[in-house]
Amino acid sequence: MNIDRYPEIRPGKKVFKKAYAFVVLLVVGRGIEAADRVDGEVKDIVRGLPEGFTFSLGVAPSGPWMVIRKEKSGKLRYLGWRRFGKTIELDMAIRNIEAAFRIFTFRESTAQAHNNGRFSVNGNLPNALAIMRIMDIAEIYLLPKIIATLAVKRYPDRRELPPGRKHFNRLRIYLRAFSPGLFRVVYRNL
Amino acid sequence: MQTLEYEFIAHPRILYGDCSLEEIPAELAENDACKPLVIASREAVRRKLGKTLIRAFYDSGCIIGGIYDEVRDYAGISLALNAAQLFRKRGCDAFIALGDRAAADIARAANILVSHKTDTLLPFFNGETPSRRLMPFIFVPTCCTGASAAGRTLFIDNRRLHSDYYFPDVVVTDRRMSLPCSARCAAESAILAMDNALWSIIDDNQSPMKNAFAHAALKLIGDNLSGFLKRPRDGKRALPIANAGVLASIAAANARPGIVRVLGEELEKETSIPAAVFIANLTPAALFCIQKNESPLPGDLLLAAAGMDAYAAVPTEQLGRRGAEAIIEMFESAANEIPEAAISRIPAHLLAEACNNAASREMVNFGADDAMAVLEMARQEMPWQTHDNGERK
Amino acid sequence: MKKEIIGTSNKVLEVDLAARRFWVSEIPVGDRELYLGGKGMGLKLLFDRLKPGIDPLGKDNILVLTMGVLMGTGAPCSGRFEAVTKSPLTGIMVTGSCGGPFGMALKTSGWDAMVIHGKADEPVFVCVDSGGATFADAAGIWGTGTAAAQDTLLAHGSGAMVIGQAGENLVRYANIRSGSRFLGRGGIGTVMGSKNLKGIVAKGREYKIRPADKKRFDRANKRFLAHINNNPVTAGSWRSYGTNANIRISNAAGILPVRNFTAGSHGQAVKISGETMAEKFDTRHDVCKPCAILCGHRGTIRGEKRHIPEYETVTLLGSNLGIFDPEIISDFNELCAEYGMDTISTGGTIAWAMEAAEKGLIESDLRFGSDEGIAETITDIAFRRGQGAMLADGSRMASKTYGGEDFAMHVKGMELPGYDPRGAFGQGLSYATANRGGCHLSAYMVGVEAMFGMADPHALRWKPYMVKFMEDIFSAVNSLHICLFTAFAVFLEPPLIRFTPTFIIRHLNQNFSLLALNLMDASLWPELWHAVVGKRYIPYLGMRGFYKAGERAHVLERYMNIREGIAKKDDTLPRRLLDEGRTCDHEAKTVPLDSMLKTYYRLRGYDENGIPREKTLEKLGIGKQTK
Ligand code: SF4
Repeated sequence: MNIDRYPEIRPGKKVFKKAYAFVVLLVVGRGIEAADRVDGEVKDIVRGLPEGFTFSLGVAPSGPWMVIRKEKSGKLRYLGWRRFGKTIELDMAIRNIEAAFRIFTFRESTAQAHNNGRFSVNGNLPNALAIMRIMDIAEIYLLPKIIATLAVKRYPDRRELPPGRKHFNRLRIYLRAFSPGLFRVVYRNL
Repeated sequence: MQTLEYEFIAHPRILYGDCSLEEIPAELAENDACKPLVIASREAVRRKLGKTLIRAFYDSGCIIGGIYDEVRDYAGISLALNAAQLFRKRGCDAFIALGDRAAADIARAANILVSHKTDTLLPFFNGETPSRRLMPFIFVPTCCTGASAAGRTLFIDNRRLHSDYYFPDVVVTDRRMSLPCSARCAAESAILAMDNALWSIIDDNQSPMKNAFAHAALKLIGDNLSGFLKRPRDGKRALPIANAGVLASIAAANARPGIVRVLGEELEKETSIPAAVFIANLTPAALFCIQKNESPLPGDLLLAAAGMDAYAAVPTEQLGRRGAEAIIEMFESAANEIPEAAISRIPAHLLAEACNNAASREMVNFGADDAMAVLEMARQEMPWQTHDNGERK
Repeated sequence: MKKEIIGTSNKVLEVDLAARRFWVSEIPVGDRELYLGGKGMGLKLLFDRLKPGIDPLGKDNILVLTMGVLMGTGAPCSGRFEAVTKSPLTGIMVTGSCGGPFGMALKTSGWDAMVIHGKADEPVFVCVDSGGATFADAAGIWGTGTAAAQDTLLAHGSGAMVIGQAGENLVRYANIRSGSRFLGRGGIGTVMGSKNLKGIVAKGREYKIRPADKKRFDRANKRFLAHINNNPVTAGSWRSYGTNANIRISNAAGILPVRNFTAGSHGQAVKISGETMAEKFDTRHDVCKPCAILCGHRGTIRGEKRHIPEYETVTLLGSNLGIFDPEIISDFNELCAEYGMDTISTGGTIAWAMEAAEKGLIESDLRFGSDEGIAETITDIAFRRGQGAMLADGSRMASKTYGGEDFAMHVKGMELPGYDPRGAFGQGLSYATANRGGCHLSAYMVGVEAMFGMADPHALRWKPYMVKFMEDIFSAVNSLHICLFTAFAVFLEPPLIRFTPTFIIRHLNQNFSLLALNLMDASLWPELWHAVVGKRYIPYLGMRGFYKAGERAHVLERYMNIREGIAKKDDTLPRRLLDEGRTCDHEAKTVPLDSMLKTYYRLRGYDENGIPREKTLEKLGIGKQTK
């Protein structure tokens, strides 16, 4: 048999989808960091996490990733997209880039994606659920309602999150997310 | 209270729905594999499904050891030996079968060869079973009859080998892959799935798990069959049928082979006409023979095909009969897509030979006379085809 | 003085073995015109009598033996008779042609055909003379080989046909011996065995056959002889070396089957070529009578006078098993002759067994390139002993049970002869569509493609038309009935072809096949036929009628096969030829069958499933009762 008739195949890369996922993770990562400083509920959840707790969320197997750590100060800090040299206690990975793209284009909510087995979680499950809740809150602030309803499990009603507070917090989160701190993170990760 | 004793095994992880193809690298990783060899049917590659599979591996970090696309409709040791050779030379660590039954069987056979570091299946033909777990094996059924090959049987070179190790580790039914190529293929796949489900329900080993699988399969078929036959390439209909095929084949793997399936396969061997043609022809006759022998049909399960309303409207004592009618109706609608009216045209001596061969197959619980009775019945008009008032349907 | 038959007697001797009685029927004049004789007439007689779907080894099968109108007239190469029955190997119709003396004896006993019904309770042989048939107890010769059985029967007449142990033991490819020639393929001998019929002997020499128009016949005959004696194949290579003259050509063209069709040529092929064998074995002619080509030979092998194995035997029991020693091949040939077994199917089945053993499908010591165990296997097959019982059913059945269908080299159950169609695509189509299964004589496209270079072997254009054309002609020639090898002389010797350079013929044939083939002058054959039966005709119109008679016989056979369940699914080739390339080809080549098959069906008037359309049957007058 001539085995050269069946060559080895090195599958290519989905550059656009990866870039898109990278941007989304960057924004969400920064958004989570900002939400921790703005939203009371996030603060409460974070308080329950152990100090130095580091988690990553990304796309298996080759990224992109976002890494967040709870600092000594009790605040969450977005550390960027590099995982090397960091002790990750909770590793949440979307199983492939295609699934990540579905989630990040809001065709599938995070909860639905969990249900469909799109995530693999390595670490403490209660912490994972806590992170999911934080992510949902961050997405509520970061995304317009019409999109956020697709992305989160349940969109809070007006009583739970009055529009005034929502828009005010959203403004603060955006300002914090895109503050010079962003350039610091980018610089450190390069 | 009657104690229930049963055994049931459903090894494969079933991945179903959007993006399930892209799950394959992750599944491989879970099985400690990263370099699969793809055994593909020519038809699948012609339909560019090989490329779709490669795209599913983008950004996965996996390398595909090669796509061995020599499989047609026959699974033979020659292909398995070549595939095993390719597997070894490329240093692969898993198999992916892309195609129908033959592709799955070549992957299974090559898997035995590489896992047992041998170049012959002779000991296995002589009754040996695998002594260790095989390499990870992922099955992506494409087109029609593929889904029915998700069980624990390796059918190679016209021999059937059974072992739990032959179950695929993962079965992927994906919208992009599991569409039938023609209305005929659609009908054949539905017939095979229905047959698997039907006979695992009729089987005397009444395992509730097996029944659950078969019932779910029948329900899926019942809900989608008519739409599927009208528009076979409509993914919304085709995918549930493919899924039903997988479920039914797992149920059938836990049951004895049904008389109709065995006869159909033996007739296929004699005549080269696909078994599904005979199965469609023979099922009404076989069900009638069962009723004639006053064996009760589990109508409650069979009526799953007709839906909850129909089930509720039928008095208990008529469940068996109505269940059978519902099933026959489904078989007939699928059979309409297959032009051959088979049985009547097969020479009598071939029918007799097929009956003898069928009765001598292992695990069957019928004799040549029973098989002949079904064939004889199939030549006559079925009483099922009349309503209670005697009117023809 | 001998009684005379002018033209044909049109008398059919019908024999019922169960009741041990006979009766006489007539061939309707209309049928004679439509089906000529030989194969065509045999099929028609069978069509009128055989119920579809019967067991070929059961009592309901019928064996028809027919002669052509030329038999007994002295026309060269006309000493051939035809047998038609339902084959136990393929389950469909099988026709076979043989040049043994039985045909002449039967015809000169006053019969144009013989039909054998029923099954005898005890082994019998049948003696035929002009008065009819008598039945004799064959217990004494049951269990003997073909040579001894024939010798015994010849005490009762001038021509006999007998089976050996293979036929008695229902080996599905048993053949029939007459003289030193064989009715080889498809298990016609098995049908005799299933009827407990050891042999038939005809007294012969009771009638003289005289053409109706003697002068015209003599004129045509002279021209025919001149053509044969001028042609470099019929008067050259084949006369000197027999059919084995093809070995070198096939080897060079890459169509020689080697190791179960895994290669198309071999460095040692020259050792089994006709030229080598002629020199080594000091060969002399040993032929059908009458014959002017003289393709058969005998020679001194291992100190004995033996018939030199024919091309098909040499390839299937030789190169295809990886054996290139002609003496060993001759040993196998002698064994097959003695047991009465088709050498092509025997070789094809053993090749399957060798590959199956190599690949671990069966346990056997048979290996390619080694002659060890082959003779024993042949004997085991003939007596259905041990593994021989499984091989006695042919490669199709064996592969259905033990696997290896992808390298079981048969079509419709009949093992392929010695031409690999990956070196001649037209031959591939012709194998797939041949009515009796894997048969090279249905159209003999290798002649056109590889031997005479009249078409590009790997081109597809016009191939379906060429196959159809050749099938019709060969079917007609087999209905005359005359040796197919006369085709070389009849086609290639008329001036138009003879004086046109080959490259022009090749170009015309490949690109304007319809015109080129129809311009060929084959009028000699119909001329001979009409001279014997005494009808006037216009040459080219007569040729058309002749071709149409061939087409009619071919389509009738197809129609009979359809009744047995044949359809497009069966018009295929072994998977090896469709999927596997060979190293001897520059670029791996496989037969692109599908693309040719569709056009072929259209040309034939079949539907897309390969079933003759109503219109086609009507046009050819098939199924009509004739008077
Ligand atoms: S050419 Fe050969 S086969 Fe033909 S009749 Fe003469 S001897 Fe026989």
